Amino acid sequence: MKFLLHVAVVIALGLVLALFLPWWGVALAGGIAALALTGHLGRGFLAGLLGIFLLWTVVAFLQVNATGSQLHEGFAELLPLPLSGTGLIFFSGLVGGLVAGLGGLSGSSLRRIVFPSRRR
Amino acid sequence: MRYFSALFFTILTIGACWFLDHARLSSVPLGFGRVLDPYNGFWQNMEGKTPDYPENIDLTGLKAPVQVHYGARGVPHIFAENTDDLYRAQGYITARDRLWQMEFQIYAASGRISELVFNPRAIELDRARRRHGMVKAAEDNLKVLEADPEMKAALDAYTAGVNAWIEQLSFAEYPLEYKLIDYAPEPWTNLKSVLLLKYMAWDLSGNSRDFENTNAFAAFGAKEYNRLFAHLTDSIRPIIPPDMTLDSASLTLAGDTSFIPDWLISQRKIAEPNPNNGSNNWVVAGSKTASGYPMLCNDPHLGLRLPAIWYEVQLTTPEHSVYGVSLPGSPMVIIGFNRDIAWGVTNSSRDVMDWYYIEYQDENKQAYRHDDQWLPVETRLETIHRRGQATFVDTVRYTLHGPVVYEAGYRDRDSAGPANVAMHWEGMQPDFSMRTFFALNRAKNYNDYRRALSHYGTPGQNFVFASREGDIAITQQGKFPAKWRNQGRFIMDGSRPDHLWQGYIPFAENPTAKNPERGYLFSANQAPVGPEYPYETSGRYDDTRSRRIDQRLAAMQDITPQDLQALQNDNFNQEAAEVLPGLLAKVDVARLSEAGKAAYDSLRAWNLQNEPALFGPAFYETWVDKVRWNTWKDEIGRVDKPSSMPDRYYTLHWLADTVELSYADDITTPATETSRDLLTVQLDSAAQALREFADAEAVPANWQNLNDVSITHLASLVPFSFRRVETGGNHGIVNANFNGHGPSWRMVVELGPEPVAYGVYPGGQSGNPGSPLYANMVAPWAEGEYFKLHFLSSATDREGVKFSQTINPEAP
Repeated sequence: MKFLLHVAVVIALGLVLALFLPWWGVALAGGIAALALTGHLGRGFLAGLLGIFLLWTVVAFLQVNATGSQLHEGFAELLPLPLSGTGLIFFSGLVGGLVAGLGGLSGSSLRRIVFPSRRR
Repeated sequence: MRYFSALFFTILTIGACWFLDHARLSSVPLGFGRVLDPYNGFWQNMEGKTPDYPENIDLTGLKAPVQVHYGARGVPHIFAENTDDLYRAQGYITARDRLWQMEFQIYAASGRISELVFNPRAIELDRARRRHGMVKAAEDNLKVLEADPEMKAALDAYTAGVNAWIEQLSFAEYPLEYKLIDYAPEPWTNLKSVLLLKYMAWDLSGNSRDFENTNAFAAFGAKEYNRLFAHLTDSIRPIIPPDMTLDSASLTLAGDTSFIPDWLISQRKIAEPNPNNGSNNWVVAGSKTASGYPMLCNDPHLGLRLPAIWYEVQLTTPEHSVYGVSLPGSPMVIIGFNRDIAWGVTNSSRDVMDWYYIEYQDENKQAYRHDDQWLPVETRLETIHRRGQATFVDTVRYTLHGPVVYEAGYRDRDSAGPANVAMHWEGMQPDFSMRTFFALNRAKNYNDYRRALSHYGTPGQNFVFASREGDIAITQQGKFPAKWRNQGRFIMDGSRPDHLWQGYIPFAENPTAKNPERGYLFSANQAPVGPEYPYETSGRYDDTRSRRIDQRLAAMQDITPQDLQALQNDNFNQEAAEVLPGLLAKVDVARLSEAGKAAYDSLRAWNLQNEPALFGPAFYETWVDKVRWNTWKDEIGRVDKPSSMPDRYYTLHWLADTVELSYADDITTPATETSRDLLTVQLDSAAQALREFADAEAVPANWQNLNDVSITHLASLVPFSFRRVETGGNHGIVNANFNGHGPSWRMVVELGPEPVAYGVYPGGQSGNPGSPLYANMVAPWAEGEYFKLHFLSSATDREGVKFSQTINPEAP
C-alpha cells in the first residue's frame, strides 16, 4: 500500500515537473519521492522505475491514440534497436523509468544520510 | 559508506541524464531520454488528421491583420494589406511547415554539413561548396539586392517572419530532425535566402563538360570530336521556331577560335548537379484549345526529395494575387499564375561555367600570370566547423576568373596536366533574379512579362508565358556570355586576355518568340535556337523529349486541361520509337542465348511505353546503356578520366543506321567487331544483367523496380523516404522520372475569365514526417492525378477552404 502510494507520488511529481523541466525532470521526480518516502534503496528504485514507466508509456500511448499518427513505426526503424512502434512505446517508458529509478536510488540513499536512524 | 553510496548513485543518475541527453555513437543518436520523452520528444511531432492551426496568432511587426485560409492539402492562401505584411506572413507560415528543410538546405549550400554529422564525406561536400565560392557569391549578391529598397524590404520581412516563428519554438515543437540530429534552429538571415537562390543557380547551371570535352578532344581528334559532339543537328526542334530566330548580332567577337587545349585533365571532379535537372513547359494558344483560352503547363525536373523542394501558396495584397509554388527559404512565388498571366520555367542548360588553367608565380601562390603580368591572388579562408572534430580551415585563392577550385593537393591525380584550375561561373556574379519573380507575381500582360525578365540573371531559364489577353510567348533568359565559337567548351588558358568572356548577349537578343502561327511554344531542355542564331549557344541539351512534345502539340486540337495533364504523364519512348526497329534488325537472333532470345521477343512485343509493370522498357534501357558504353569505352579508355561519350540518342541513331559506325569495333581486341556483333552481344549481356538483378533483389526485373523512382528524405532517413514508386518514365521521356529525379511539380493553367488550374507535386505541404500532409500527394502524383488549385478571388471566397486563421499585429 505504501509502495503504491510512493508510485503515485512519483507519477504526480513526474506530471508536475514535466511542465517546467526537460525530460530529465523524471530523475528529480523519482529522487524527491524517494527522499520523502523511503530509505529502502530497492523501493526507491522500483517506485521511480514503475511510476515513470507507467507515466511515459501511457502518455506516449495517448499521443498515438489521439493523433492516429504512425510516426513511431518509422522512428523505431531509425534507432539502433530491433523495436516495433509499439515496442518503442514501452522502450520509452523503460528509458524514463530507469532514469527515475536511478533518481529514486539517489533519493533513498540521501534519505539515509538525512535520517540515519529511521531506515525505512 | 552511506555518504559514498549517496554520492555514487547521485553521480550515476546525473551521468545517465547527461548520456541520454546528448550521447551519440558515430552518427547514431543515443540521446534516448531527450528524443523519447513523450512530453517533449518525437512523440510531440505526431499530428492528427485535422490540423490544429490556432485561429488567432500574434506576429510582431505586422501593420495590419493578415487572413490565412487553408484547403484540405494545407495550402495557405495569405491575404495581407500590404507587401511587408505579406512576406512576413509567408516567412512565418513557411517556417512553420518547413523550417528544418529551409535550414538544412542552407547548411548544404554554404558548406556546413560537417557541423551536423560525423560522416567523413561531409567534409568533402563542404569543401566543394566553399571552393565553389557559394558563400562569397551570396554575400556579393546580397549587397546588390539590399541596395534595391523593394527587394531589401521583401527579404527583411520574410526573414523577420521566419525568425518570429523560430523564436517562439520550444524544444517540444522543434521539427523532429533537430531532435534526432541534436541541434537547434539558428536565426534566419537575408543572406540565407540569397544562399538558397545561389544553391538553385548551382543546381541548374553548375554542370560543365569542359574537363570531359578537353579529354574527349584528345581521344577523338578535332574532326571526329566536332562530328560526334555537335549539338546542332538536323533533328533538333529548337525552342524558338526557325522563322522567329534572331539572325544578326549587335556584338562582334574577336576570339581565338582555333584554340585547342594541348593538355589532358585528370582532376577528380567535384560531384556535379544531376545532369538530368531539366524540365518541360509549353503553352498553347486559344486557337488550339477547346475553351478558346490559352493554357500553360510546366513540370520542373529536379531531385525528388522529402520535404519537397516546392511549397504551394497563394499570396495576395490589394495590388495583386498570385498562386503557385515557392521555394521554402525565399519570398514570392517562383512558378505560378495570377488572374492575368501564367508563367513557368525550364532550365536553359546553357554553359555559363568555364574553367581556366592558372599558372602561379611560385609555390607561395600569391600571384598568377595574366596578360604577361603577375597579378595578386586574393585569398579567402574558409573555416569549416566539424562536429566532434577539430575545425578545418581551407584556403581558397581568387583570381580575376574566380576561385581556383582545383589545386595541387586537392582532387588531383599524378599526371602532367594543369594542377591549378580556376572557375569562372556566371552564378557568382550578383544579379537581380529575385526582382524578376517579384515582377512576374504582379505582371498583367506580355509587356510586364518582358520587363520582369529583363532583370533576370542566373540560372538561365526558358520562361514560358500565357496571358488572359491571349498572348503566348517563350523567352530563354539569363545573363549569357557572348562567346566565340567553342569558347569555354574546353579548359582555357587563364593567362590570355582573349580567353576571357568579352561581354553578354543583350536582353533583346536572347532567344524569344511570341504568338507563332502554329499556336504553341514549348521547351524541354533542347537547343534554344537553330544554327542561324548569331551567338554560340553551347550547353547540355536533351533533344528527345522536345521531339515528342512537338509531335503531340502539333497533332492536338480542341485541347482540354486533361489532355495536357496526360501529355505531362506521357511515357512514350520517343528514342526507342526512332531507333529500336533499326537496332533489332541488326541483332543476330541465331547467336542469342536463351535469355537473350526472351529479351529480343519482349522488345519486339513492347508497345514503346515506359510503364512501370512492363519488362520491355527494362530490357531496352539496360541494353542501350550497355551498347553506348561498349561503343565508346575503348576510345575514351585511351585518355584519363574525366571523359565523356557522345550522347546516347545519337549513338543509337548511328548504330541503327545502314551506314556502319566504325566505333562499334572494340579497338582493344584483334578482331574487327561490327555493330551487329555489338548489339547481339550486349543484348545477351543485358538479359543476363536483368536476371542477376531479379535474383539479387528478389523482385521482378520490370521497369518499376529497375528505374527505382525514389523520393528520399533530405537527411536520407529511410523510414521517411519512398523507394520504387509505381510510376513510369525515364530521362528523355516527357514523364521524366529517373531514379531519384523527375517532375517535382506539375501545373496546368487555363487563363479564362477566372484562372482554372491543376497541380500536384511528389510530397506534401508539411515537412513533418509525423503529419498526414507529409507525403499525401506522392501516390496521386505517381498515378498522374491532379488537384484543383483553388485561386481564391478574395479573403471572403471560401472555395475549398477548410480552416481560417487570423494573424494579428502584436499589441505593443
